[in-house]
Amino acid sequence: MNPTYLSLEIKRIIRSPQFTIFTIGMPLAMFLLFGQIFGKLVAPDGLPSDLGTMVKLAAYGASGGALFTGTRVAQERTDGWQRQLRLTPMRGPGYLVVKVISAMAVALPVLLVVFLAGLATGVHMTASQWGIVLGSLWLGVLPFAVLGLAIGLFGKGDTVGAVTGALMMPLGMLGGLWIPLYVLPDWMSTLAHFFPTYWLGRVGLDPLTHTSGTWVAVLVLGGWLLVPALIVMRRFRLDTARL
Amino acid sequence: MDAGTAFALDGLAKRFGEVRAVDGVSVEVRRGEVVALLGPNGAGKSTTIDMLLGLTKPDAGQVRVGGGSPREAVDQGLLGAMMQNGALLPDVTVGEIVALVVSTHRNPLPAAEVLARAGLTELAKRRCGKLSGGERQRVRFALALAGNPQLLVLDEPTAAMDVDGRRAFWASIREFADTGRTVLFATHYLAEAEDYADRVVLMRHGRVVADGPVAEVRAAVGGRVLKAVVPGATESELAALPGVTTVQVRGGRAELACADSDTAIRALLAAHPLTADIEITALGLEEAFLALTADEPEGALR
Repeated sequence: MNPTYLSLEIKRIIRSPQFTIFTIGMPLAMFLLFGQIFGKLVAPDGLPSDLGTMVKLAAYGASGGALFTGTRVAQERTDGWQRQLRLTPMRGPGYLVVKVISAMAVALPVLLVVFLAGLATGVHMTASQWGIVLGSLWLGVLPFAVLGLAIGLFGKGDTVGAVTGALMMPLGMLGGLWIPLYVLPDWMSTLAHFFPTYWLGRVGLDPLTHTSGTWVAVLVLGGWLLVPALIVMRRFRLDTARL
Repeated sequence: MDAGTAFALDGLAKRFGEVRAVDGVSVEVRRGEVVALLGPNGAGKSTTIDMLLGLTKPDAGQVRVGGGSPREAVDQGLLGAMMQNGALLPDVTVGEIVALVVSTHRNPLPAAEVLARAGLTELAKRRCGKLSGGERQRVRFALALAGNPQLLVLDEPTAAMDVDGRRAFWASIREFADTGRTVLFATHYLAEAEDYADRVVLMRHGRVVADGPVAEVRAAVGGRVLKAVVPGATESELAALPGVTTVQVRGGRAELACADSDTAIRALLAAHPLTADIEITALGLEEAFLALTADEPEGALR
């Protein structure tokens, strides 16, 4: 792995308007809004609503940001940047690893910003809980980075951007990250299980509710990691042609 | 292929559907040569270069660069290339993109030297998306130099450069070649091939139609044009003279394309003593290029 490339990629993501406006700005604004609406009401899982909202919107922002890696990859593919890299000793896996790690690296500040907003508006957790939730959410973002990459290897820049943008709405809404599932019809709770974002929310919140089922969420996210990873490995090998 | 060979293409072929883009190309280039790859659009130049760089797999034939495969040569930094419309990252500065490519190589040139050689020191802090066409070409050139290569491959390098930019660019290529390293460039500018190449490889319809020093390629089309005022002569009379290939009479002035202009002029003066205003010129590379790459039947070429 090339550290120069990694730090350049992180810089590129952070200075893009997409990152500030959508990846950080949207979940932050939504948290400030929804966090106030539901306030300290206690949800059926026994947690205060503002805590649940904070965790889920942090998860939404971070997973969305990671998913957008694919748009960047698709754009670079359309532009021929990967061809350019083929004229350097860097190999395909080196490129992919940089993409995934940089997506993970920028997910951390997204989580931190929403958490800080939570802290400032009175969300309460013990110090170790803050740490555990942050860590679980952060690791849980990995499947989204790889999923984004897989999508990015199939389309052109504009298309992938539009597809990813369109995906984020159902992922957030139907995955239960925007609005708590208990206020929605039962069939929507069932449907939510088909979205990886639902399981990301679970990975973040289960440690707080002492649900014994955390491992289910971890396993499901593992599946959401494995399948796109296999697609990426298979697809990238073929993907060296002139576009 | 021996230690003095920079690269060798042996019987390369590539088809795209029904089109034979490259159809049996064999070229061996010695270390230190500066070679121009010339040909009209669709001649197969870019496909040949793609195969030389290892970006496209040939259907048949072999590519050896410095004794290994193109991929090995790229990995060792032996082969640097500047592609036509090669991608840059628009949101990244010139300094950053150069530092990135430098960082991928094992024995690179220092980034500051790469920038200096490509004339980019002043532009290091500018984002690639804000560069002019000529400036972008210089960045691509810088990226090609980063690994300190022995062989430099350039596809249409001076497209989008202005006159000064072109001159400066060729000066840095000259500097590079003077250290005994090899350059292959594809170009549409015949003057560039004439001025900067030791050797010209002409392609047409996926084949090499001429390959040699500039003077030799020029001679390959049958050499010279004889112009004169020949009172009372008809075109058919002139065409019958020995050494003459074709004749055109325009405004009382005859233009004789000659395979052997010495024989032709003797015969002309003997048959038409009143011939005046005689002028004999060698074909420029431009005419040679047009003659060799014009869409004629195969057999008419040599």
